[in-house]
Amino acid sequence: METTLKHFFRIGLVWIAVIGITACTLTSTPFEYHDDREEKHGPGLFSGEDGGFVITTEQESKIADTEKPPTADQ
Amino acid sequence: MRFRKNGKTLSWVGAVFFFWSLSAATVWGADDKDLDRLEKTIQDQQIQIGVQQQSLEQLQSQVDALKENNTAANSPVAIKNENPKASVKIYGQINKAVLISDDGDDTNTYLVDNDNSSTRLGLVGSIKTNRRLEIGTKIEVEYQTNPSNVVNQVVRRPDDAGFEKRHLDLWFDAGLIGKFSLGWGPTASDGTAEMDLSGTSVVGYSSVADMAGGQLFYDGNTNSLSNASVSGAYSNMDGLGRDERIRYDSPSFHGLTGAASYINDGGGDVAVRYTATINTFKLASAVAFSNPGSASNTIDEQLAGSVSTLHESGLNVTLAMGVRGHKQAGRDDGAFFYSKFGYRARWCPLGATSLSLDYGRYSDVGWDGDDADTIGFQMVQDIPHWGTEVYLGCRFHKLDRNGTDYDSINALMLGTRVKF
Repeated sequence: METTLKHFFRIGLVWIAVIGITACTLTSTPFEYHDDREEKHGPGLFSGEDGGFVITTEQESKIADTEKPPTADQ
Repeated sequence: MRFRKNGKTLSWVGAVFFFWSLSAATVWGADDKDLDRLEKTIQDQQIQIGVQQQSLEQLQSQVDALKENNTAANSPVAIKNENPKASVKIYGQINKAVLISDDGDDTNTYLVDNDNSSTRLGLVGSIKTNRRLEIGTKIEVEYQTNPSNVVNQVVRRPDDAGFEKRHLDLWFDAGLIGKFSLGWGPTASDGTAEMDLSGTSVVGYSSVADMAGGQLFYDGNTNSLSNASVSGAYSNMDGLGRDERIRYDSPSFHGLTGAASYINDGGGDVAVRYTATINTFKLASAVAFSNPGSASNTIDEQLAGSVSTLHESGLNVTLAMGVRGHKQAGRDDGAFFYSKFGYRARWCPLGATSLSLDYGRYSDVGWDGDDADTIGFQMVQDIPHWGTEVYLGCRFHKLDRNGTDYDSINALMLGTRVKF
């Protein structure tokens, strides 16, 4: 009898774990984990907001230039 | 008198009329030959004007081209990529610190490269070949002078190891099919014992030996430095680390992902990660089983994992644990447990401040019967506008080893990491 109870108890634990994980995965919003010790997110001291020196195409470069906010003398 | 004056005026008018009549008669009297000559002259001049116009246009286009080149050369992005589907980035960081260590007998000060997150340089590129496939490459190397986990009381200035590889990696990300990686890079189990949302891992995390791993314990029995180092007694059993491998990562299912890799010497690992936001909590967790195969003569199978959670208030908790089998016959399994409690807030206008306290116990790592305890404090001030962090860490190490009487090692590290 005791062995049967332990058996059901183990099966129950497995089912609780499966249901718990499934419930968590369905009700949560995933986010991309980033290790702070790797390349840190955010701007760089010299590279600015890109956080690195991004090699862009000429077309992208021109688009970026046109998107720059006007300066005071403009 | 008046008549006389009028008479003079009439004489002048008459003279002008005479010469005008003479000129007109000359033109009207010109022959066809002269007219043809004049017409030819005009046509020649028109041709010359046309040629000059072309020259001016050519010069203007040359000036425009020079202006454009000059703008490109003065631009922060002087290197141009001709492929609009590709993205390439050069990045890197410098991480330097002052390390002060007291072994119970003597206190030493070192200028070090912080091994928690070493000085490095990288180039990452990716290209979307179509909507379903992205191909990427990553080359990253580190260059450490006086690594914080190597310097000790005997070797204060270790030889430079030069550039050391971190990533020489190539991947194919096929979206719903998954991601395949090939080359030198993180194995599936790499980082599974190091999930950490505290914001202080740059100065302290489950691999506690990164801060002052080279330090030697002073033995009170012999009144001399022993050969036992911090790194020899503390390990977070973080899978297979980086290696020459082929790796597969499954697509994410609501934050749940699986990964497996096979390394060059016949070892391999499998890992499961789950990262998600649940209500007001962020959760990052991972667990992995790994076997280094013939890549290690001492380590057999390992099972390790970690979980870290961050509440929106800034409070955070991190736990990690693992067990390791050894290949030497009769050796006890090694094990560790690590915990960290932290708080992140924006007290300073420069950026977020992160504080944490941690405790860990590492057993049977170096020798059977070892019990290595550690308590630490970490503080990191982030200054995102400058791509900089300033940090302070203190760590107490105590090693109980059979037949020895090691003094505790207290270490303090103050440094800064600058991302350029």
